[in-house]
Amino acid sequence: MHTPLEERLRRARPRAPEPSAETTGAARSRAFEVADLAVPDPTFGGPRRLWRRVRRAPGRVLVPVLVTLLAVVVALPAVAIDQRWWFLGQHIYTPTSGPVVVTTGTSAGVPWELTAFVEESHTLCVGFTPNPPNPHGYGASTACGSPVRGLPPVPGAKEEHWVGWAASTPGDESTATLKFIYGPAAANVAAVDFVTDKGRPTTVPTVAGPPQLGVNARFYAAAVPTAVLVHALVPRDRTGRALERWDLPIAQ
Amino acid sequence: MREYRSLLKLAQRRNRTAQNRLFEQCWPIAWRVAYTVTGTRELAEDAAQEAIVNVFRHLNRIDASRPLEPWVRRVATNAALSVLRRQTRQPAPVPTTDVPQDVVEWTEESADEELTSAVVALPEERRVVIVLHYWLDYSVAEIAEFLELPIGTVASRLARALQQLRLGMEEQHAHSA
Repeated sequence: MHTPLEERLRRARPRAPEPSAETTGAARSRAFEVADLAVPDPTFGGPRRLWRRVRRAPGRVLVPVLVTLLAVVVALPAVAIDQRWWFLGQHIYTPTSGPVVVTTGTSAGVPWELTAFVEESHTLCVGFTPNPPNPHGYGASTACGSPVRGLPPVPGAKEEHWVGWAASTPGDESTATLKFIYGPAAANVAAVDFVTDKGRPTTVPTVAGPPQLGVNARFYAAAVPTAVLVHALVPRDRTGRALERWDLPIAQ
Repeated sequence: MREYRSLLKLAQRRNRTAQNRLFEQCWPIAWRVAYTVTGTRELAEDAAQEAIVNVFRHLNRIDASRPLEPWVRRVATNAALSVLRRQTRQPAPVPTTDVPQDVVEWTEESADEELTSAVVALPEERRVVIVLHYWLDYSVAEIAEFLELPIGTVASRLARALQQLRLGMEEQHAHSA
């Protein structure tokens, strides 16, 4: 049962004016840009589609399935170890220490964790994982080899900074409006200022890495609305002194 | 539905023509929702663009068995609310004596200018619940989810907003009588 005012409100629904051609054009370009960067969907298209495929060409589906099954059985012990860490499941990294969980948090209702490990090549890797343990690594990312002062040297790096950085867009519908910026920091960095195109800089405190990592590093992670661009990072020591202003090559 | 599925599949395979057609379907929805929630052209431009980017960013995760419009509306609503939140965190603009052009434009498009103007004049948190409930047809529970507030808080804001609208309009009628 609606009151007359409520009925009137529903009828008063205004019509939006047409968007300008310029806005529409810009939106179209940006949409296509991100669509081109989108990762293909790893799912196989559902059981019905799979069944249709089996009926059409049983050999083409069943042989790979059997081969995969055999591989899974053989590799089962290794998989059991790697399940906790999606980045090890891909067999790209060989950690020599870690992985360890550095810190955890929840942003926009989505839990996440920041992990770190030292890679075979002695570089420090930092991983960001939404919805942990997230064994398939959906929306997760890893960054290795940031040239940061006091951390294991990165071969070929021209300059060192007080912090490293990486960006991750989880892509989950619930976090569609958020991206995460994270990275390692030198041992004396107490906080990192995010200089953005919107308002005053946001200060993010750093956290110490666990001792079992074997590297004297600190870490930071922060959720940033996707529409806000981070132009620079300003690491600060415990006294609040700015150690540098690092203008990012491309605003994130 | 079948046509939509094949369109989506082609768009996911980066077929530009299909992406273009999908954009033509999603953009008006995103724009309308963004404009309705934010109430100004300037903010709607930011919100609608953010929404369409989010839609295309998750192109590969769109479930073809479900209708597209409700999902795009939700993404656009979230984007518009996010733009509004950022706007309220920024320093307030210097007030001017001119009536903002966007408000005039909005009220002209409405079937009930008097009531629409009264809605526009509501405090932001009350205006938003009115707009989401009566103009975008979201339930109180859905609004609570969008705003990350308890259902009771949303219901109470809605009741207060209605009360304020009622009183405001009665006052206006008394003056004009």
